[in-house]
Amino acid sequence: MTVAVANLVKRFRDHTALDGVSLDVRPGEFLALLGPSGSGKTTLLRIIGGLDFPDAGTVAFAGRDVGAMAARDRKVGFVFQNYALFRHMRVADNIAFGLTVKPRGQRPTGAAIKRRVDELLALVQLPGLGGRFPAQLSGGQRQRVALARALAVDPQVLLLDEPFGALDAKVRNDLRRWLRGVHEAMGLTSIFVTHDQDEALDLADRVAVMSDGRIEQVDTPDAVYNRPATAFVADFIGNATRFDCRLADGVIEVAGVRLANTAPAAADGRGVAFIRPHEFALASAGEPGLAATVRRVAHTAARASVECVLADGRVVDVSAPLDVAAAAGEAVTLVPTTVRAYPA
Amino acid sequence: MIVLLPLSAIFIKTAGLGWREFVAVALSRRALAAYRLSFGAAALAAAINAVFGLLVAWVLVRYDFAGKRVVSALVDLPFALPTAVAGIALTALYAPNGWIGSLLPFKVAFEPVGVVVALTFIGLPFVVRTVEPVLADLGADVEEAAASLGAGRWTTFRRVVLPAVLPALVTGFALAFARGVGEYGSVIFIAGNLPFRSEIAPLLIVQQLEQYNYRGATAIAATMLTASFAILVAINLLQAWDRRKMAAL
Repeated sequence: MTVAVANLVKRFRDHTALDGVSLDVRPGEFLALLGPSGSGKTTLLRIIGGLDFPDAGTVAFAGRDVGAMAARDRKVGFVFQNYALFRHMRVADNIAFGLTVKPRGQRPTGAAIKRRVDELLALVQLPGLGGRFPAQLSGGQRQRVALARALAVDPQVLLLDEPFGALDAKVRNDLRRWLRGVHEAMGLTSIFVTHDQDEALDLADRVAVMSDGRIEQVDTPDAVYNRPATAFVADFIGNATRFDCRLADGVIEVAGVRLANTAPAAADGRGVAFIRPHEFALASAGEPGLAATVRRVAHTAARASVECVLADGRVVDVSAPLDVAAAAGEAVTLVPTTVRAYPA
Repeated sequence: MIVLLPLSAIFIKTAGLGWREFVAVALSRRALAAYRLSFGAAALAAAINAVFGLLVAWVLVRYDFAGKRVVSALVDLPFALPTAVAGIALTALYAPNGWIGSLLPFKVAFEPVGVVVALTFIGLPFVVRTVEPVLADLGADVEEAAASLGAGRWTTFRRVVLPAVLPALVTGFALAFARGVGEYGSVIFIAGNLPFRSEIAPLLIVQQLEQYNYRGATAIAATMLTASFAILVAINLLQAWDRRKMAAL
């Protein structure tokens, strides 16, 4: 099912949470809303789920306007950041909740509900735990109960608010891949909110990067990382060093080195340039480029990480081949190989 | 010792009374009518408070509005106000010629209804303050989760909110009830104190004292004490039950 929002505006008392947001989510897509805290990503998710209502703009599911529809009628699965499980109910009753609150005519029989709950418990790999209370489960298990509860009513759209935020790293990685599998197996259209870019890039089909109530770019993880559309995305995604530069005829001049701009064409004049660690080449001191001093060389699994200090005191990480011939204290020149520049 | 000594004194003093005399004073028709009013009005007031206290607590926890702190402070007012002041104020309001009393088609002050009004006023903070933290702890997302699963407001309240706050609500009810049974100062002004009609049990005790009938006073006191003790035991059992349930989780 497609999910389309257009020109959403949402103001809270003293700030604008969403400032004209439009987004089309394709059927079967797994989309990440990625941004720093306060960028409006959770507000957008809540508006799609019907938990908040926009001041302006539209929300449509499969082409049908659902803007005036309350959460209870939208038939979306919502997984809350802290799971929001019903503490006084056993796991099985939590999962069955969405089925037992259906109007009398549509409500499955007790036996059918029990069967569905058992199916879902198997799906979320918690068979036999239906009799427990939420407090008797680990964080990862609670997360899976919350997911099973949301899936019980067969939603076509699944919304997840920081689904892995409260879990430790190991559990988080396992759960990520597993969630991706569930998404595919059930043919869902899923949207999840995260501030963790690794998570977004690892899991999503497309990533919508948000900042200050606006969407900066909606693209595949590869494009968001390698072809950032705006200076914010270039700075926010991945590790990059920021330089002031001059732009002229599609050529960028950074510290005396002239390079072709690989970012969308920007107007001539002053700009900001971003260079990632693997986009520097190390040259001997005196060559044209950025003069720097090596502070530390660390050999990690596949590449060496060379920590350099620029003349102005800034620290730049350079990713180099393992056989790099740099030593701490050595004066070197950093030659940018790829630069993305944007208007300042 | 501080608690037990005066309490045991009541029973010892009462024991000085013969059984027959005890029955004559403590279970006289007038006393029975007073118990009925005291316990009945306290139960009714506590029930009213359970409903409206839950509502007030819910509004205080879930909504942000201008003057919220003022409202929150007002809830505690009955705690802080000398009860006699509350009684006089309520009487002035609800008297047949008072601001509210003159608008109502029926009499409130000097009737049993007046007793309920006073006890409701006194008991409200007990319910609000016991339910509030539990509601705050419950979190709005649980209500939102129920809504996104298709539950209506009433279903959400009945199946999600109420079960979670019920132990606290019952505790608040019991506290308000216990306070209402023993309330004196705020009631005597508004009640009118007509024997058999709007005379509360604590007043009966004071009257016995004024007639220097200490044994009669203690007989009624002992009867009330026994009832109050039973209620306190019930509260404690409830809390223990609640704790056990929570510990099991």
